[in-house]
Amino acid sequence: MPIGDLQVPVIGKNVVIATLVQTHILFATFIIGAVIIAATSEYLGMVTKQSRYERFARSLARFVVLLFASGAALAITFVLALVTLFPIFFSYLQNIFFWVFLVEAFMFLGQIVIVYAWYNVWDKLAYRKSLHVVFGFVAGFFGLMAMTMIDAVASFMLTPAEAQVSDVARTFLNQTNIPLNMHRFVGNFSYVGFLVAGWAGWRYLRTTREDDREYYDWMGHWGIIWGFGFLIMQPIIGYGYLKGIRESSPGAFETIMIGEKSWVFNLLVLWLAVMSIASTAYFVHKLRFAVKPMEFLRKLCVGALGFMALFTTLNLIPKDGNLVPQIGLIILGGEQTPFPLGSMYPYKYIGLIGLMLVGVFVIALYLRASATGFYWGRASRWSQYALIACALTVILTMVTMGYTRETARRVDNDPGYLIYNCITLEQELTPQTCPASGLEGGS
Amino acid sequence: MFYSLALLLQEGTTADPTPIGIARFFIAFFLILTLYSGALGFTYWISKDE
Repeated sequence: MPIGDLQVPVIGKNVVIATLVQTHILFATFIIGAVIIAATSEYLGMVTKQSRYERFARSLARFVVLLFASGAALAITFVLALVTLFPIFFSYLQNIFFWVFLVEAFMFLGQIVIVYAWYNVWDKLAYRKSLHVVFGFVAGFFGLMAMTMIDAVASFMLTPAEAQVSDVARTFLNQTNIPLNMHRFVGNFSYVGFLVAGWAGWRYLRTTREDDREYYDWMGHWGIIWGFGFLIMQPIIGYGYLKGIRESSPGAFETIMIGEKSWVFNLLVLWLAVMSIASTAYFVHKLRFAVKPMEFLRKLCVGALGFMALFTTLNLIPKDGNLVPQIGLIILGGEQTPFPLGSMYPYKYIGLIGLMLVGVFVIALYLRASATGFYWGRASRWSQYALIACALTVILTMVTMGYTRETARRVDNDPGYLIYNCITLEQELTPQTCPASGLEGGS
Repeated sequence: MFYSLALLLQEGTTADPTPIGIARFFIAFFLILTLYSGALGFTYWISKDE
């Protein structure tokens, strides 16, 4: 290789990229989701005249403005690392996605400008609140568009389109771009919602002022509505995403779903179980403090908690004894011992559909109760621990999902790919297996 | 010692992991969480008095 064969001692160059990108994503997702949640809260504050929405929106906007620097610094460091460590791959990527990267850059610029303007004119536009709310949503829109652009690149790396690489529309709309984008769109809100809830739980436990206790109690409730409300949409969107991967990159699908790396999905459903059960338990607890007592509704929620535990446990059962083969965690003869309840069809489907249905049911009951209001500031300590557990688990979910998508391209490491079936981890082209044509030059 | 432990752990596996691969997995995980919590903590610290 004439250029670009730099190695990083000890940790290796893949870890450098993984660390920078994954950390950047944790910030970028937070910023996109938080801007839209804050703008929505500001709007609700304007409509309902409840001051806590305004306080929440403004605090979140300030945090986003301050956090933007970390997210942006990691993004630029990541691009620098990619150019340095994978220059050949990057130049192919830049050639295929020139327009996408260009639009991405301008969307990013637009987001920065509007987010800062939005926060900065908060007092100045106090009497033109509608206009100010629009600022927030425009900033959120720019963020979502930037995400959409980079999703095109990320999805192409896993499912390259069966077309000329110079065909911008086909490469952009590759098989998994839309489902990935939907998955991340919903994930933004869920992730930020749980983080907000966890932070509120922490502050609730620490604060000594009564008005702050009421505020943080409400903030935990507001966060978990976003977090859990959007989380329960994920199984069906995730199913669509995985269906896209199975149809266009079956090797990658098998690796992460039924192959050597299927433990990543067991990890994922473990996180899903923690968040679902903790959220439902929180709802059950919170219904005690409804302004209008709803005993029957609360009993229904207790039943829902039982079903939630049942369905999430069903999801947790592995398909055979081959638990984590990479570290030798094999029980009962490994692949020789299938566990019937761990099979995808019908049990995992039953588990996931059940989880969604119970989730929709329980959040509908909770929203029904919250319409009449709660007595704030009376929540128990353990309910706040449940919120904190959700926040910590959602971070692990993000990291697990990031690892899953990227490791799917490795399949059996013979070879591992940067663009699946097209460019190997050693940055060599494999035109004989690549569904996209034109990478090697020519028409 | 670490090398032989890692080999022992992988006995009977069908994948082709290396000790350094497993170490890198956890190094990356640790670095991600450290950078993330560090930057979040720093942002909170610079804004908490406002």
